[in-house]
Amino acid sequence: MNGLRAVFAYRGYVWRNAVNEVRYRYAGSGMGVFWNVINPALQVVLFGVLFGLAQIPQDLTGRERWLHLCLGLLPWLGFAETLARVSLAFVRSAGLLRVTNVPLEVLVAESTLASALGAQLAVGVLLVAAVASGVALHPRLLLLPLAVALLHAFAFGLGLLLASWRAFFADTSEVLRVVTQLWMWTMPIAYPEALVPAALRPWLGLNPPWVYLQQIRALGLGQTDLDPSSWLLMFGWPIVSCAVGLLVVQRLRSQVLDVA
Amino acid sequence: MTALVSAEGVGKQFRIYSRPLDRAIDWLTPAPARRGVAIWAVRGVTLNVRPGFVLGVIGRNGAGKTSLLRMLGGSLLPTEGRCERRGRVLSLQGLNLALTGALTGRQNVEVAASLLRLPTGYAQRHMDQIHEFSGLFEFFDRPVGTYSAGMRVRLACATFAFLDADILLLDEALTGGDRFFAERYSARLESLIAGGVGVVMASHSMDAVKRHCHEVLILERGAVAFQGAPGEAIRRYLGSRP
Repeated sequence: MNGLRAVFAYRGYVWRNAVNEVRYRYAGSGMGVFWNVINPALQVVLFGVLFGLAQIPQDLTGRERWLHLCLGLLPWLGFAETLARVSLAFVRSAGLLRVTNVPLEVLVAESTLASALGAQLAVGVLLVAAVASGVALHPRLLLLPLAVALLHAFAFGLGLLLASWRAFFADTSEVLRVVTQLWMWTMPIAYPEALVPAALRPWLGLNPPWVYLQQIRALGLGQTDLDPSSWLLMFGWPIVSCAVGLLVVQRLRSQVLDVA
Repeated sequence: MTALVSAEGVGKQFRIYSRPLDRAIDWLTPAPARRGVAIWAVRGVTLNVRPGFVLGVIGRNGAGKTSLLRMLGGSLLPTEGRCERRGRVLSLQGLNLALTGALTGRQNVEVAASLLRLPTGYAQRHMDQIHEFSGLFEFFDRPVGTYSAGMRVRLACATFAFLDADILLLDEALTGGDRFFAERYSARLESLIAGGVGVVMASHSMDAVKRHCHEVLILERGAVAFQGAPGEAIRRYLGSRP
């Protein structure tokens, strides 16, 4: 809990740095801050065209198919990018760690928040595109930012773990890249759920990101009523990942500072 | 008078691994089977720094000065002994390590203030002073990534000189920048010390040590070789042979 208390105590720094990171990530480029919107917009168009041509999934048509795929892929790509970025939190801030006693958890929180803001922006662009193409607005859409935020809260816990390992093992980044690619294909994000063997389908809920992606999809498409058990898991996974991550950081804190 | 920063028998042991895998194996095995090589960077240091007191730390490269300062500032955890701090610590080591290249000088000052959890508006209230002191003129509002090394030193020192702190930890912080700026910075430091700020200063500049310090500690291979009056410490240090 000390780690979370530290994050709260440094909330001003976390917020300011996360916003700065989103604002200045593309500093020096001609389009500047607009790349934060252009990138997800391009992905939305690209996925729409590619999966439309391939007619995946076959049971959906046109706009529904496009939205279905984007609502799965964009949040997943945001989650994967968050893990990649957050895993470098201690390495990138080694200079800061040498001169200040800023808690390690604060650095992970700042990186996670910056990525989460980017992911919220991407989902926002997707929704604007969806509404512009004729999808009806409905009140449940207001829960989308919460679902994306919870997915990143889960990423925060994993980030604590990954950033600690990355401080000692450079291979962590490469392994993570492979794992996230494989991880994506364990869930029906870019292929229909019908392709998952029937015996395995009930177990999909144990794959944490899938719980979030499924609900994000459902909310975006307005397909189902809220599933309380899924939302319980969406709140539960971050608690588990943060508990493990905070414990690991606590155990390795001294060694991480030694190698900073 | 209560010490602002104190250390009691403080020591730091680093464990050096030739392969990352050895560290992983160490994590999984009990202490006697440890594979890394243990090296004591600092051992058995006891010190007290009161308000308005300046402690100098001198020694050859690798003597343990930076490790000691990092422990005093809390950015390194001691292996043995304990360090205590009472008040806000500002640490200037390597001068510009904590600056962000994409942000302007002004924005870096704001980030530094939020990192130190200074009250909202504190940076704004002191911004004109920091701007003026840095002598960066219009560059203050340009990205730090476009600064020369000397300009980065100016920004770091100016920020450091006007952010509210009880304890200053300076590691070779008076040797950067041009001669005129270094003189201004030394004068500012003297006014902070007169105002009750406690300072621990590691330096290779015997002039700076002689000018500012009340007491000097000589570190040799991590251990205290001498602790006492600056004149005597400098005489012993310069008279020693590698």
